[in-house]
Amino acid sequence: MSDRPPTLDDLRVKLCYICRDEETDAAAPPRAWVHPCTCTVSPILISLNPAYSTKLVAHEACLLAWVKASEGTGREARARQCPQCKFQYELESKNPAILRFLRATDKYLSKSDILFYFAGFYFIVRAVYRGHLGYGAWALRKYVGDEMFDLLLTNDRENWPLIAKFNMCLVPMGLVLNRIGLPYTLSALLATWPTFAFQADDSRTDSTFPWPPSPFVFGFVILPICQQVYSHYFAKFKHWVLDTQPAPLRPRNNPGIRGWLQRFLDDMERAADARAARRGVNAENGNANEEGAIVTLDLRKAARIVGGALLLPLIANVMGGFLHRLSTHVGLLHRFLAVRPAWKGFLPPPPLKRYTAKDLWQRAAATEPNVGRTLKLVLRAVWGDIRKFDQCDPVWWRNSVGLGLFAVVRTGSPARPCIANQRCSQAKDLLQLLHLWLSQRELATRRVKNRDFSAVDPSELDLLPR
Amino acid sequence: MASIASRRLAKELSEIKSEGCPVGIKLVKADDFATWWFTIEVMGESLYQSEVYTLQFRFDAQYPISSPAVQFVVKDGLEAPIHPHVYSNGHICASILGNEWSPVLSVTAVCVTLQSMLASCKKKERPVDNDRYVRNAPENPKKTQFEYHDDSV
Repeated sequence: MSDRPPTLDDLRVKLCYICRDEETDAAAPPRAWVHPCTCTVSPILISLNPAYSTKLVAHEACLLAWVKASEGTGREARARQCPQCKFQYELESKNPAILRFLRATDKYLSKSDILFYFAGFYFIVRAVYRGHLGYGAWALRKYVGDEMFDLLLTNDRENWPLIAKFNMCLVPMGLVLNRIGLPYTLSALLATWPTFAFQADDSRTDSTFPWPPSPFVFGFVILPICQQVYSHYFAKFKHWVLDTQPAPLRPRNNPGIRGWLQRFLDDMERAADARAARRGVNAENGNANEEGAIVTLDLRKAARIVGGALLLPLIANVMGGFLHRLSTHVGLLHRFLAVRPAWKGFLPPPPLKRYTAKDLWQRAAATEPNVGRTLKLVLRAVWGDIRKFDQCDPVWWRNSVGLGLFAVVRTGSPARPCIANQRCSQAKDLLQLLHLWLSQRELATRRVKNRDFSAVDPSELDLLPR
Repeated sequence: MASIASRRLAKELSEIKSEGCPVGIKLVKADDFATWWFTIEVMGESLYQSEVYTLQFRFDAQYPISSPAVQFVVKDGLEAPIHPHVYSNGHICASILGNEWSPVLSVTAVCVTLQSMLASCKKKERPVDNDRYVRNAPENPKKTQFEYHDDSV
């Protein structure tokens, strides 16, 4: 006997602690054996069967099956050690770095699902943002004209101030809200346009009345007044043309926000009543398809509203261009629209620096405190005595006027024919009014044409003596 | 060639028959390699003195890589012992039947372990969540994810 420690091959009896097969000479295919640890078998087993009082050995295949079966379960760590002496089995395998990396990635990816949701959400938000920004930029360019757009923002998206981007993203929503009856959203958007406001230049000395007014004044003063006046006189005109009685005015005792809220709730209630009545009619008629028809109709209406709203800048642009061409022949219009020759320089005009609130304050308070001077400065800034408007062609002004004209003579027709009484209340613009008036006149003048008896033998008729 | 499971079970059975079971454990039936029944009795001083319970072992084709499904038999007048780790439907919350199962264990080793689990019990009571568990328990206790919280009892 040599001094080397005995090994697996020196054992007289080998018994796999997993499958309990013993190695016998008769066993036909010899199988690989392992002795992966240092211990002897559990005392319990030895007490049961002295054959176990050997080293804890196993078939390699059995041990690998046991280790593999435990992978991914709660006993994975336990399976990789001897059940008795807790000696860690050492497994050798081709486990390159790439496999370890892939396994680790797999393990952590399953835990990081939430990150993918966030990433997906981020991309959706970004796509919506890009879409709105792109549309807003297009709408603004159509509305204020290329020259002023370059002056305000330049073509370089990276240089746009954050607040301008924010406003631009709100443009599509503002247009749609404007269309469905919140007219002030667009005005607010236009008036609070960041680079429009407060670039007063008090170096101006000539006291010519600045025209056109600033977008701020236009959006918050001129436009609402025009809308009110227009709707008031249009209603009167409509009733005069169609010879109808104006509906009794709802008492508007509560001015301000409470009154508005009250009216809003009233309208909602009335709409709900109308819907309920319609449902009742449908139920009586037993028309099951009506509900579906209403939905499709509403979808089409919504599509028309949104599409029409988003086309507004283009319409304003076209109408403004039309007015511009017209103004070359009409001097008064030319002066009303304040058309100026376009910028003649080779390069676009340099973007103007905005005055910060601090700058304004310093300018106002530069000399001794002078309330009158400060007030004048602020008023001039609000009204539109703003350098850049003097320098470039106020495309936005003629576009606004053109859009107003378009709204008055809109080419919108009612979606479906209804009785004259309802249409009367629907007429909102001149074209519709003309349509209604002509329809009404047609009805009123309708006569059945008389024919003579030329095709009949006069002798068969009982005629009065001539 | 018979499967590893049936060969190992055949070997365990022949050992039980030749060497006999440990004290207090008797083989009731082992007609096939799917289900075996044992009776188990706690010897010496204990709360379960002179009480005999019946244990059922069920083996699948992966035995001994996969643990046997072990539970007390609770039909035909047989009952499970009242023990903080034994539910009234016979299911046993013991780590060696789940997480700590190892192929080095055997049927008799499991019996001996459960015998000592009963012997060391200080107070006869059901698990606190017995009613809830029994209402929703799967038929096979191996399908339950037990939490082995208390090793001392």
